Amino acid sequence: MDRQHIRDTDVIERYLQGTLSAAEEQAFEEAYLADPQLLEELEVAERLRAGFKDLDAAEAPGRAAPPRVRWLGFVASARYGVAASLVAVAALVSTTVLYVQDRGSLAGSAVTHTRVLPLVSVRGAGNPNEIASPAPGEWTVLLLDPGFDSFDTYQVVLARRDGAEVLRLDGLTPTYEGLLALSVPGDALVPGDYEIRLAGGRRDWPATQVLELSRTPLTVAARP
Amino acid sequence: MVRRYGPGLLYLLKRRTRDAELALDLRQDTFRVAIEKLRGSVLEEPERLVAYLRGVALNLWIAQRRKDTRRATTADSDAVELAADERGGPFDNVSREQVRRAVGVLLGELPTPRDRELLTRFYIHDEDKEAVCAALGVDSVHFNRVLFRAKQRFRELLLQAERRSRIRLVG
Repeated sequence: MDRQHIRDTDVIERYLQGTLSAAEEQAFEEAYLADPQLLEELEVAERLRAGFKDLDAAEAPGRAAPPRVRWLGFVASARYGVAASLVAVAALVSTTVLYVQDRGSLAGSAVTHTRVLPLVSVRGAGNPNEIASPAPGEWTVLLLDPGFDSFDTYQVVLARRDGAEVLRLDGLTPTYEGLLALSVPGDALVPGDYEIRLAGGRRDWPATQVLELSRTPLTVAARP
Repeated sequence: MVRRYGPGLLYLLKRRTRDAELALDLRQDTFRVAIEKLRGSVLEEPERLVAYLRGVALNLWIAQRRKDTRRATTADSDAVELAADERGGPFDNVSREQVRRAVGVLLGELPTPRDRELLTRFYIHDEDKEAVCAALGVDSVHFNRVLFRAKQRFRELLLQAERRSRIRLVG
């Protein structure tokens, strides 16, 4: 079974739907066993199909929602978009001018840096999250993936390995790219081993009830 | 042999068993059986190696099912789904949420509502190609083109998500 035939006769889609004949199925399975590119194509198609079903299921409750109110229609219109863009440009220009004017006065003051660090949770792969200790005035924003299941709110606890809590934040919701952002002042991240405990909660649960979701290690190394 | 046929065999076995752990075990057994066989005798038609491996894998799976039926065990389907998400494919690190988001992006980027409708009918309502083409007044060439482009773009989005999941911190 060659690629052209597979494409022309929608073999991948029919395989995923389970509608190939036994002979076609055998031929196709033998084809992808020996062809990594075809296997990848198959996996992409399967993920796409699953993603559509998932998206549909996730959007299902929202379908019964009442129609959009009138002002929302205006906000979503192209006319509003153009006007908002003009206001944004004007604001950008004026703040740039103010910044240039004030630059001289900023020269003598302390400058605050912020680092944004996405954390990785990889099972059995050691600790990939190692950062250099931030300066005392520096802020570190740790980005944490909330995982597969979605919760109404999240609780994040940053603790040292000996158990001492450094920071606890309740009522977090995912923001940038669906990640949870945890802002930590520089002097809180002294060198050492830490753990970030993530828990999820639901609106209809008691305020004290949360479900632990993950524990992500973080190592802060001394600055070179 | 393991490197070349391993990923495909794992996919095949995961699809049949719906159990990632079992699929891994069966793949291992498949290679063990095949290597023992190849050490003991020459495969008469080397070009049939793929068919031979597939045959061994499926026979092992059928034997496993018989064993399971006798034991009458039931699988924890949630755990199976979670495990299936975690191992084996080229997009291992891409979570279900990221896949869902990628589909949202893909739909948002489609140039016409008709193309959106086409993908929705095909993937969500499981309508077959002919029915979708008839309902939307498009030919099969257009259908194939939309599907092909959607998959290409979706693959790019998955790769982006995969890369983001693998970001390693440098202090």
